[in-house]
Amino acid sequence: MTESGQRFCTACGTRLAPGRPFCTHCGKKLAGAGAPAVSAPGGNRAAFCVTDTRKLSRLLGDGVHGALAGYLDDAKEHGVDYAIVDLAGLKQDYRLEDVISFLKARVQAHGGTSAEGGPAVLILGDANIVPMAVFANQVDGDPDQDLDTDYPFAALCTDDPWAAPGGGLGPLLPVGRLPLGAGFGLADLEGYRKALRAFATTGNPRTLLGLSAQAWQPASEQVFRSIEGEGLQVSPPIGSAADTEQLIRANPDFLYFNLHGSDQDPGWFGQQAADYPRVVVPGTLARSSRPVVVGVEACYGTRFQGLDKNTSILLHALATGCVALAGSSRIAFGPPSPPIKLADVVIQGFLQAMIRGKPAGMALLQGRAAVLEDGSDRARQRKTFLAFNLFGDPLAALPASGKSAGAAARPGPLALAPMKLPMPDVLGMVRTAIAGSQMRVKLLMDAHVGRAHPGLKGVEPAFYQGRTASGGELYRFVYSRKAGPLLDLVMLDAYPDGTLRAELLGK
Amino acid sequence: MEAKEDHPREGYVVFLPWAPGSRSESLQPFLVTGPGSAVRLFCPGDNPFQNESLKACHLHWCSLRGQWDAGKSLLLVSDIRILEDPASGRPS
Repeated sequence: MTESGQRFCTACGTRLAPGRPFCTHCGKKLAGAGAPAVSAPGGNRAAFCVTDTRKLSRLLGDGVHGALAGYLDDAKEHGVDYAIVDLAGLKQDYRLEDVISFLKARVQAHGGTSAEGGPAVLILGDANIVPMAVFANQVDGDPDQDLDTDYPFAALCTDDPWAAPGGGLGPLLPVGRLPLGAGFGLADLEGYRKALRAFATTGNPRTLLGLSAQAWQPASEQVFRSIEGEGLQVSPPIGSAADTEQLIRANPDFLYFNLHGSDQDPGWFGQQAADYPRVVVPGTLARSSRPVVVGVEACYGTRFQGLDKNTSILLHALATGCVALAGSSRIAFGPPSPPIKLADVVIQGFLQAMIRGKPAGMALLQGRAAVLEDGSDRARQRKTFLAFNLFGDPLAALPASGKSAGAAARPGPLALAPMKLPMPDVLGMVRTAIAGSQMRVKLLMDAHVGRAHPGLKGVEPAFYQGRTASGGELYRFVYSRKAGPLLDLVMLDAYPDGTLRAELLGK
Repeated sequence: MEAKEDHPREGYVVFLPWAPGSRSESLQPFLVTGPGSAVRLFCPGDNPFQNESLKACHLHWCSLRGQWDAGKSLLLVSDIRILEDPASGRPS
């Protein structure tokens, strides 16, 4: 504390923001802050913003600091305390491994995770500011030599995900990227900030638009119906970007696209036989006057590196009203007709979760987890898992009042349950937040519940930690949803490796 | 862009299945210059799934110039001509 009452971080010397329990520059938890990272005073959630202010200032000027402060203030107003993980503190020629180690140390120093799925990570910068991982592509017969992914920011490790033992690709943290840089400047960030503010306060957004290549209509119909969409549009007859703009002018809130995409052209294309009309171009999505969420299955649906708003649908959309866009950095796979798989499944999971009120980062994790269970070729599952990334703030979510009727049916208090569960041989079960590798187990349990108990799909479980009678670690996930006078309830006990130990049902 | 100037090349232009089962599944033009040797072609400005400028070259022996984009393993065609087919001796 200084004479003027200002406080400074003892680790990095940065002036401390009043009311924040950690340094917004280096992330150091402050003495006396008390609460773990996830629960800042006032109930705010902690999250991490990975950026490089040195590189950004060099590229975009000194306005970067003000823009960043403004963004963080907005976030705080909406209950999120972003701690900045500034890569300017690293040696100049850092590699992705250095970035992930740096972030991991900050996350561990905070020691907290949230019941919403771990502290979120917002990457603020394009791949030249904050590097994106590039892994070799190991799908046989696939023209892509490699693929870009932000997966290491979720896993907090840079190990080759193709070599993960047992196929485990358990994501840990919700991650999203805002590609601030040469193709997306400070004015664009301001545009995004405005849209995010509007999204966080908008009322009852529930309208959907789906647009599919006619050749894939049957698969798209299944995806669209599953997210409660009606009246899927197909191309052709939708035959141009102007046609799509007319649809966008009706101000749908959630946009689902199952179209062709190319590494040679900024557009997305419909298809009927040899006819491939270009139906979405940069600027098409800006015709909406309301903020939108986009899930796109197109190959190269998120191409942005080396591009600008005129040549990238993603960059244009983020600058003009899109708060979250999930899509593929490379060739994406999916069938023309049901059963839906791969790209269908990840986008279905993403949109479904967002419509139910989940934050965007968590929604993508749900989509990714579902892909690993879709029964398709293992290598293609992994590629889909890695290549589909989120662009936008990982904590972008519908306001509570805007959630759908289905989403409003959140788990009721367990005390209302007209049931009695037998007590398993477990000791010291304590309700707690889900931390670290427990998130992988939680996603496996979510997937199991989604399959075995569709009525509980999307429900956030209560989490308990304890031990078996023999001393082994045990997790318990309790999923419940009120159904009339009763309570649907499923209790899953699982070991830390994700093996299901017991399943108890109640009604 | 990792494209660079390239020498003229000759070979058969053939539309082949591309990325089957994907969200860019289509017939894409390739220049086949020998056994197991084919490069993907694209004329800037074309619809990347219809390749209007190269359609007339399908199954013809052609000479072309362009820039090789190593990042995308793609030849960006700037000039293409249909030549006499060396196998049949007839104009191809």
